[in-house]
Amino acid sequence: MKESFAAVTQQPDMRSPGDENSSLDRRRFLKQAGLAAAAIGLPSLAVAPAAAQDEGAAFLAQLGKDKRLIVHNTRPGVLGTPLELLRQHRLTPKELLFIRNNQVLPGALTLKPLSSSGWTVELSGLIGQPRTIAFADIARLEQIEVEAVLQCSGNGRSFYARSVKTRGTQWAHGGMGNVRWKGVPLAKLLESLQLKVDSKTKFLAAEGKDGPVSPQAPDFEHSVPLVDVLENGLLALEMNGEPIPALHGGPLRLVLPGYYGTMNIKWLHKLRFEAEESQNRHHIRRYRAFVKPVEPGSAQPITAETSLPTWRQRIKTVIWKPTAGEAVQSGPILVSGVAWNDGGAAIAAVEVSTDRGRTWRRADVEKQSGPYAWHHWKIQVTIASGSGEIWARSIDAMGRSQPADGAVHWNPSGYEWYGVDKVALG
Amino acid sequence: MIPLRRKRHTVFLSAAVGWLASLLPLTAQTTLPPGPGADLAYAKCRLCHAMDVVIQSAGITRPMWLGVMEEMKEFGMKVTPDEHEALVHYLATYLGPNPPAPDNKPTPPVASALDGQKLFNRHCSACHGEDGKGVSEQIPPLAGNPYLFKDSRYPIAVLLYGLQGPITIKGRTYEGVMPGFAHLDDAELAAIANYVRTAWGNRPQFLSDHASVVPGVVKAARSRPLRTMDGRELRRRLK
Repeated sequence: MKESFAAVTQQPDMRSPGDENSSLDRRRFLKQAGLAAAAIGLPSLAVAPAAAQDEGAAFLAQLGKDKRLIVHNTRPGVLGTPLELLRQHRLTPKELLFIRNNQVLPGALTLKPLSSSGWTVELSGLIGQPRTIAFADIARLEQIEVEAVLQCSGNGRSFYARSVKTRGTQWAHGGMGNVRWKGVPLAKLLESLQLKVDSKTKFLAAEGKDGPVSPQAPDFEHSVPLVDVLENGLLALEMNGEPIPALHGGPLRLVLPGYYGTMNIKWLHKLRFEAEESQNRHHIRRYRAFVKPVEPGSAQPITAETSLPTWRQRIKTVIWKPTAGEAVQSGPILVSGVAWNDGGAAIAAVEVSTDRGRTWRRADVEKQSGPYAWHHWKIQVTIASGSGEIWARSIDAMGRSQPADGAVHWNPSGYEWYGVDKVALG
Repeated sequence: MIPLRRKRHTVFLSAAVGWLASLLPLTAQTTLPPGPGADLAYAKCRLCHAMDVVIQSAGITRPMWLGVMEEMKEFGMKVTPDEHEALVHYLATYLGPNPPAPDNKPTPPVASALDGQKLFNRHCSACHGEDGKGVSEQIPPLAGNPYLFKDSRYPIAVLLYGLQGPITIKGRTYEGVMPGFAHLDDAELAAIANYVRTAWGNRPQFLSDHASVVPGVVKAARSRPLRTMDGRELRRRLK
């Protein structure tokens, strides 16, 4: 334990907690079988001794998640996916998909669907009379499908530690997946209800059925700009062709393609049409990054004036073959990965460098399944000595790209990492 | 990325180093470095979340930890001014950029000298309440809780290793997860167990189990660590 503590404080890079780039199975040294079958009896109250990692393994088993996932914590439940597993699927299966719970809905710690019977959504705010609609009323409306990257705002947080470490779960790349949502566009729902939204309305506040542990604590919610919600927001009922698993927010989740995960409110229960952003502390204190760059480690506070919520995903590129843990021979190798942005402009190019950014070459980018989905790319490069680094970045049609040093976007909670991706070889 | 200085020459060597590195546990990072004030972190932080996120944040500066504390208070953490000072000091020191060697506790205190109520209020009341009433649907009450008496080794196991819901007490269901308190001494845990079994009007229901909990029984229970979900199986067998 002391050795791992040293690793936490002194080695913030590839071998830090939260590094989902290692290619190896961490579970193989656990004695799992014996525990499940252990005899428990009174008066001895004897149960087989548990290794420290068993809590995590038990949590994964309870959820039905793949046992190779990284368990960042079992409460409220944060799991990451190794890149070696992510790269095997175009659509991330539910057993592999990362999870970051803020609050736990009783009965939702499972990949099975949650019953939609009796599920309602309350609409209120600048719409005249409040309305309550039933799940069935939503489900019978015409639905669309959209493939989109789901990514935690904190994904990549551990990379800020190269400059100044921030608080929070030290994600590397495991807080992301690519899924297909099916649901009712919010605009269509409002139309079907003939809802008149007052022109003063600028934001939609969304809240789920989950609640805080402490009764004095604020209940998790977010505000999102109404214009985006009306353009491509969905009330999603299905993920990857089946009812959304309870763990991932089923039976109903607000999905905003191109937005960071936190804004896609799970277990959707209330929508408020408002002129201003919510003043709830989860929205004004958390999940915000600076508008203008600051020095890493800056004591400048996150305020309404200095920051914006983590709404639209920043353009990002991830190299997933080879990963940092995979050894590479010198000579030609195939490098591949994914790129994406907030869907607002086409990805124009993905570029790769093997000389630490001095020169760049364009990768081949596959035709994508939609503006919000992973764009798959690959390129053949030649590695001189089997060591060195591979860098990758993307540029979109609006000219948005990635900083060579992601620390330029440093913020005290380490959100929205989008630095050029760098994999060390050898 | 900062390149590791490893020889490239064999896949085997890389794999071996990778395997060794993979032993650095990414799961169950729930044990704080020992030091004065660690018990306060265990007592206050785990109302809402497991300890991992605190431990993963190790290395941030004192002003950053102060920011964390301020935010946690806005999200329901209750600390007296003294507790605030002690907790900030612990976090900024043992989970700061230059932590000292972990400070293991000195000689354990004598059981009879301990005040069970004080210990309960310090370590347990953040979740269970000083009145022992818990939180509806999440945290079970201890006041009037019959499971404290069916076999004294059960509350000892729960104190050491925690308990995962859902469990039902008097017709009500509680879905939370109680973390373990193995970081406290045998004497402290015995004192807490004895306190909860006699506070708020609690009285032993069964003649066979009215004896006080002694530290030796706590010590014996340490040899068989459990997961939080195992407690529920123990509980089931108490009926």
